Amino acid sequence: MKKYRHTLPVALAVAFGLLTLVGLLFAPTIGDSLMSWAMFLAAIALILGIINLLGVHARRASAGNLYSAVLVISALIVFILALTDFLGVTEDSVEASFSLVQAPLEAAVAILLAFFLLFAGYRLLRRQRSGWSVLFIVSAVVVMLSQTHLPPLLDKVFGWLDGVISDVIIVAGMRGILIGVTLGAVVVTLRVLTGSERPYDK
Amino acid sequence: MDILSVVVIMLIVIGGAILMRWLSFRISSGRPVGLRPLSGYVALKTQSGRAVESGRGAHFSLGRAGLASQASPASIAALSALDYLTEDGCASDVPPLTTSGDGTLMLAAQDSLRGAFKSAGRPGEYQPRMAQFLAGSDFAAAYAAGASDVVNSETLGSNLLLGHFGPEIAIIAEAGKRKQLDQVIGSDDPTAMALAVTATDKVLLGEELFVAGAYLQGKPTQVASLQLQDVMRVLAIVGILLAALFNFVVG
Repeated sequence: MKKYRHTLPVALAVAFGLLTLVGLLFAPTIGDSLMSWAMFLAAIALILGIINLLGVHARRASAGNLYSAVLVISALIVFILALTDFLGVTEDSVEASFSLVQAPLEAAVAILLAFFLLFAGYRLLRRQRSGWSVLFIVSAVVVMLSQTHLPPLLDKVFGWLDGVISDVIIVAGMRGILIGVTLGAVVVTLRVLTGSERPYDK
Repeated sequence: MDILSVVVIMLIVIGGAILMRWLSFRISSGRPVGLRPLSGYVALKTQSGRAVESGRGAHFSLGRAGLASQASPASIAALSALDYLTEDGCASDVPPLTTSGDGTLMLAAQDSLRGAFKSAGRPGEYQPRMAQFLAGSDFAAAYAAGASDVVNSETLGSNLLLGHFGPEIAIIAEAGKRKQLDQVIGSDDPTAMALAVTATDKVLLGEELFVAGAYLQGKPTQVASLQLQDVMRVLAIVGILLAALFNFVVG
């Protein structure tokens, strides 16, 4: 039995991987069914993740961490709202809590990214005064200036520079990186399909 | 799906698998392979030593792509790096604190830690909370906030971010920067890569992330897959040049 402890998961993973691939290529219904199984298992994993999150933060809250206490209480409130929605006591209260609390907070954090970027660029120039870091900052400044209201002549010049940077240099670089990423992803997939990469078997 | 796409996919899968086996056989039979040094992997290799010296472990964040998602190859590559670090870290009593933005990744990370403690002969020391779930994969800002909180509140020596991240990586890297942690960042997302460059020199760009196993563990099949990646890159370049030439000549 011990012998099969490692070979059985590998055999199952390779078999289901190949079956999914063949299914997606030749019989989409089989491929879709297997993908929906995977999604179901991912949903179960999400529930386990939430239990883990609550466990970690309940422990920290009991040690006096206020943020963790807020997290645990918020999770319990949303759970109760989901329950009352299910029982028909309230209507769409989970969605309302998301659109009133979660969405604005996410948007606020996303806006902070601009400031982080600004500081990161400044620090890059301080840390590493190379030609590349200067190019990075100059490109960022040119692209930002092109998005602002400038006198017509400057607007034309910065608009043209923005076009060259965004449509030629960045697109070319992005495509090169994406081709590399795709090749890497294909090779990792091949390793999993042939059983030489086993994230499920330690 | 059209016939041409099916044929191309089958050719890549079957041809790639055969070529990888052959390359792996060549490496197993003693053919030397030279790998160019990548600063990110050099830093990861010395991570355990530094953790033991300073007594401060690492925060390893695996990103937000689940094992059933389209970006799963990045997560699988990150798990390879995690396996290497947990093996060293658990043996030296400084296991990495792992965080993830997906339930399947959390389970895989827990499995990696459990296996490493078992290999180190101390299975009783494993605790599930060593691998933490932060937020669902759709909530990038919540994930960034959770990871930043871990960086800020724990006693750490380094901040390792490998996997699928978006622009939120800037927030996590900023937290690491403020605590003056050593940082290694690798992502498959071009925006995240650009942001990572501003935070650290130890960045794994694009395809470099996917060769974690070859650089850290160096098993013949992993190194063979790196060689296969190079072969495929050459074929892609030749294909692009031929297509451009054809377009130029024929119009």
